[in-house]
Amino acid sequence: MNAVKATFEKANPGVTIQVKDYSQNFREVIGTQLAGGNAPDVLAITGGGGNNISAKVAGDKGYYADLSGQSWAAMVPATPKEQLSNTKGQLVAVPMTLSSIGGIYNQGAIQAAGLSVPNTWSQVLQFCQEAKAKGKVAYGLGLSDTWTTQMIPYALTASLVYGPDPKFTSEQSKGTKSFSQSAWKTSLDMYMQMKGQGCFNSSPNGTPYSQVQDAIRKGKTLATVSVASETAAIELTGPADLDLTYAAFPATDDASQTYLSTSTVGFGMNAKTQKKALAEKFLSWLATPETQVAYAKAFGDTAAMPGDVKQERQVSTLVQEYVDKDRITVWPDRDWPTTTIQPEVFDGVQALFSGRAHVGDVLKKMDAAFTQS
Amino acid sequence: MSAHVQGPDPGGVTAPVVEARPAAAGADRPRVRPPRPRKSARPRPSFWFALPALLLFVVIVIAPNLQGFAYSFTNWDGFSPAADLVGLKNFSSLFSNGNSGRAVLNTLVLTAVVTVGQNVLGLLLALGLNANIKTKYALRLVFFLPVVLTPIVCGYLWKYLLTPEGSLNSALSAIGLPGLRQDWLGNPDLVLFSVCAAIIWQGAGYSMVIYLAGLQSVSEDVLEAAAIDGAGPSRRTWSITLPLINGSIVINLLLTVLGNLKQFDTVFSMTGGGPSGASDTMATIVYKTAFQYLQYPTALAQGVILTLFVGCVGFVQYRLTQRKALV
Repeated sequence: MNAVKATFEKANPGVTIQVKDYSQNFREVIGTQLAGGNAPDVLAITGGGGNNISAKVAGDKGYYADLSGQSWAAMVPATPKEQLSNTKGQLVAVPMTLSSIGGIYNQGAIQAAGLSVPNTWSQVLQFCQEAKAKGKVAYGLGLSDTWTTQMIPYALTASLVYGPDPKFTSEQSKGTKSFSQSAWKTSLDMYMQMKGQGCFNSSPNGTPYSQVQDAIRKGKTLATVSVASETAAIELTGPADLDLTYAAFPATDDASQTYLSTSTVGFGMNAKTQKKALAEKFLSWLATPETQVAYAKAFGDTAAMPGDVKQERQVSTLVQEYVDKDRITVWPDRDWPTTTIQPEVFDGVQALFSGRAHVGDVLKKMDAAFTQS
Repeated sequence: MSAHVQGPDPGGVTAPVVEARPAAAGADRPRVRPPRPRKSARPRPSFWFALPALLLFVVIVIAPNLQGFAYSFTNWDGFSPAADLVGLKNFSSLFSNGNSGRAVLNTLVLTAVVTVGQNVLGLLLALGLNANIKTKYALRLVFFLPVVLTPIVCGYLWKYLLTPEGSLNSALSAIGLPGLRQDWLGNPDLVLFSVCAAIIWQGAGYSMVIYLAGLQSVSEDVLEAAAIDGAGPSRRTWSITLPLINGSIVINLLLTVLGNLKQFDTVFSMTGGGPSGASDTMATIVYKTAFQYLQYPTALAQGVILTLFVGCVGFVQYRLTQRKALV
């Protein structure tokens, strides 16, 4: 936001945009401020449900203004629109980026090792073996920061669960499907297969994600599976010649069957704002293609509504390719009916890596959390 | 013969003295001597001076706690003011949650380990730095320095020291002990003790200062007399010094036990309660229940239990040690 706000301030003399970044505590702080009535005029909103400030949770409680009547609302693509609307169908945010999960590869390091970016599951395993033989870590894993635990399962289930069966979660709600009796089991088994093949650094549970970023910058680790915007974060303090490639993470041996797991983040308006007109003006400005692309470029991700403006980052090109092919899914937790499932994934994956649980145990707990909702 | 019956001196106010004497002619009643005014060191401040602080305390601490206590019996969603009473449902759900039981056990283990470790280390440092060595003031400063860090900073510092490729494992390899390298924060069997080490490192200086204050009140004459009588250094420490600093020991034990029963900051910054809940404490569970699971009433019920638990332990500990502390 800091990268683009100056343009708005310049076009609107006398207006100052104060940006507050609450980093990892964003959900907690904003949730408390919404309840206390002192939230910012404009705030970031995550799509779907699953957390207290998301469009379908706080949006349903009336904390976000209805933006359905705004001039730009008609241009919002269907998937972001569904994700950023409350359950009454009111659009509560202007989508800014289409986040996704994929493999981030140090192109220079993998070329130096004589390897290439894998496109199929068999190639992933081969990539791991060859990287290990060259004394490199294929995929860095920093499970000490729990949010990273879900990256590979979400990437794999996009192709194995949610791509082939888009109604999987609604079927779960009806009780006809479950995590245990689905390809979620295959996905977690494949995760463990990667562990067994030596794909990861030693002791992932004790490794912070920031050390994985450092190792990729230095080329000691060749890749990681993470959100696309991490390409910008890794580049930020990396060497000038660092060249990162972003690719969808395959789950099958048919590259054409690979789906990209995505999510939408947008900016909405506090329903209690005292500066309604100015906030609406700011949101309309955020919805313009130029602002969208500039914001996405600084964030390291793909603009949700780029219009005809060209996006230069390789990340954007790849994501757009999957959008055009209609091979994208939504991060599963965005549609989960309760916030207790995701922590079960966090704990479950850590337990799998410390040998304290089996895949079946983890899925059973996830099912229990789902049904308790 | 005379007998003086006098109550305890309540802060400089002298109680009336009843003096009983043998009956004299014409004077068979005990004479009541009027209270003798005592020169007070300073005037007693009025209660009203405390009112602003009391008001702030009530508004900032007491009222939200009472509000939270009330909400723990409801189905409050964390946002809207509306809530319905659900009785003890939130409390009963605590006992069906396996994570809560594990967190209670972890908290007790952490409290025991840190209380013993921090006090033993703090006492040893104080005894060592109470001696006449040239660098004692510099060393006191060095050992006290970790105390000025916030627990969050301390936690992050230790997190990076204890990573698989961190300084501790690198040092072990450098001195030819690669076999001792461990996954300090990733191994569920080790992680709680790694966190304890960080807390002890930070808190030992604080305990040291309290022990030093106690040690400096121990009379040199007494120790010298004991030495003349043939008591060696360890005998003097065990039989004279430690009993004389009993007050410091009691205060330190009270502070470490109560502080660690509600331990949150260091644990959360080092491990977030992981891996897989292996280092969760009662306080981290309260945080997770509220802000990750969004089950605010259950979190409030957990908070009430934690408060009562810490309060009871503190009260019992205080009552058991109060008399000894006054020695």
